[in-house]
Amino acid sequence: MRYRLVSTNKKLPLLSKLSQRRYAGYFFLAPAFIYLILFSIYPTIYALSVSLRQYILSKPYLGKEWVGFQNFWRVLTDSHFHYSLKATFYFASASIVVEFMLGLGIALLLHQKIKGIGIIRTLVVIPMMIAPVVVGLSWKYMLSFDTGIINYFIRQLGVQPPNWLGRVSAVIPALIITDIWQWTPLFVLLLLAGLQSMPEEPFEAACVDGASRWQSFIHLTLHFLKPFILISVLLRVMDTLRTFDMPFVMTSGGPGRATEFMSLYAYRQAFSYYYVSIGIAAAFIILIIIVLLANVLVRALPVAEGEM
Amino acid sequence: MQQMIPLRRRFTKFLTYFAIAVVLIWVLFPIFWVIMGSFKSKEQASAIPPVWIFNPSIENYISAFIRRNFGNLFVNSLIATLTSTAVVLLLSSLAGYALARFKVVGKKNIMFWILSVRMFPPIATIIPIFLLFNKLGLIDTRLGLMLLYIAFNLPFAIWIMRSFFAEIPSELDDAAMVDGCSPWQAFARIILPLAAPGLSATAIFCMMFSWNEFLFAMIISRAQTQTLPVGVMGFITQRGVLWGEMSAAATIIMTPMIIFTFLVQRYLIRGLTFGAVKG
Repeated sequence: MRYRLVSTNKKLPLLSKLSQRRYAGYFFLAPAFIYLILFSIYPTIYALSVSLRQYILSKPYLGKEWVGFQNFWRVLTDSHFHYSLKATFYFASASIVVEFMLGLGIALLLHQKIKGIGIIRTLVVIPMMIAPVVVGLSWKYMLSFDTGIINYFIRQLGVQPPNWLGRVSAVIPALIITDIWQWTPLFVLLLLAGLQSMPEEPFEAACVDGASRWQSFIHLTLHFLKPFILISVLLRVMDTLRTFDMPFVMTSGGPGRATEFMSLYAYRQAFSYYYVSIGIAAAFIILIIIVLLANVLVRALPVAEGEM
Repeated sequence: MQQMIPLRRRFTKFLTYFAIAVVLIWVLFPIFWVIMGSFKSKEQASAIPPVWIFNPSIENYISAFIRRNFGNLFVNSLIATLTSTAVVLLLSSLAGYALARFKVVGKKNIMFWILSVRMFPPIATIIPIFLLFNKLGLIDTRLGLMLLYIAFNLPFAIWIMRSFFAEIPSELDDAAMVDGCSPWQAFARIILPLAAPGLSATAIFCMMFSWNEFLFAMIISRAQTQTLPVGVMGFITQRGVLWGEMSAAATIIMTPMIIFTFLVQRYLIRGLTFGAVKG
């Protein structure tokens, strides 16, 4: 590759040095490679084999009978899973749409030369660095029906506030509000990076040609931002579809099963009901959904692969 | 008419500052409110109307540390975080260097495979790992948690370290090897010291992920090795949530991360996008 056949070295004969270089890469890569095989491929194969058997943790005496794709079938025909799929997509799409719009707005707002803008940009990013568990609990604190500060403000406005985490119709919006708080910063950060990487000439040319600010925003800004938008949406799609921590601490799937998102469904099957093989089958289905969606988005990415 | 223009400009400037203030309040208020709650008494923490001015007390912190054993959880979190980060740094700098510099058969496939490990929903990883750890006796051990966090952070760390090594001109390794260094010596003596900023950024990200991690710790750890994010759940009791102590615990968990935000802000974008976008 980058190595030329130069050897002014007198100690080592050329041949052994060449072979050293040829194999060095494998030695450097080996420890991490082996570790990841042990911790990803092996568990995956083990999981596949469990998903094709009947394995109930609480009833070990039943053995592990081979049942083929029955577990997958049970998940796919379970009305609770259908609900969980719908709830997850509702949560994911609403969160991502609002986060994108707010994120774009804030990124444009912070893309200015103002005193202290650097510190403001850093402050805005803080929410996404905080543990989702802590974010969930903090918002649970603020959204509490009778003692929460948010409902206190809503009551001050003379409106009857909803019981955010206690009512089926309000609970998913409450989780969306929380998710928006934590993850809008991701869009701000990435879109701001996109805005800063834009060349100036096309904008000047558009200005000379008499384009309005709105026109140059639609045709130029959004055009240059496209890869950044796609990357942030890709990251958020992958993360929201597998969300676990935040809903788990805020509602643990409730009230009833209203916020039993896909990850929570798999978790409950495996660790509340001890249907391990059903839990694993559900987890595989989540994985397939994420991979399929991520693929669609990656294909839309114009990232130069030559970089590698 | 001539007076109108500066007035309008001043108005847009005012609007900009106003909008930025609104954004900052939205972002910072929840953090502020929780930190403030952690210094309130039990009655003040859930008082309506909310208490804004009060005598701060550290009662909640004392109670969290003494009655809920938070000191122990803190140590558990710290050990899991630091040990896993150290191992990840070692393995990922080696692998990242290999992927940035050497010819490796199937490099592209290896890199995508590494990335896909990270795309796995954690719940898909943890169920089989739980069954395996159960067999191996690794449930409720610090070693088990550490092994898991290494696997969890390694893919990300390899990608980001690769992007840092790729920025160091390869002429430097060439020169070192021409001067008689083995590939290993060139790496350890010349390149690794130059990648120090990359190493520290990667370390901070790994610490952040491990420190904040919840699902794995909840499933793998029991009383002995519980970490802070799992322990904080203990304040949700049958008789309601202990908001004051919960806020104290939340403050303890998030403070180091807020400090980290300022330390890594230069590398945040690269970290989030696995090195694909450089900020």
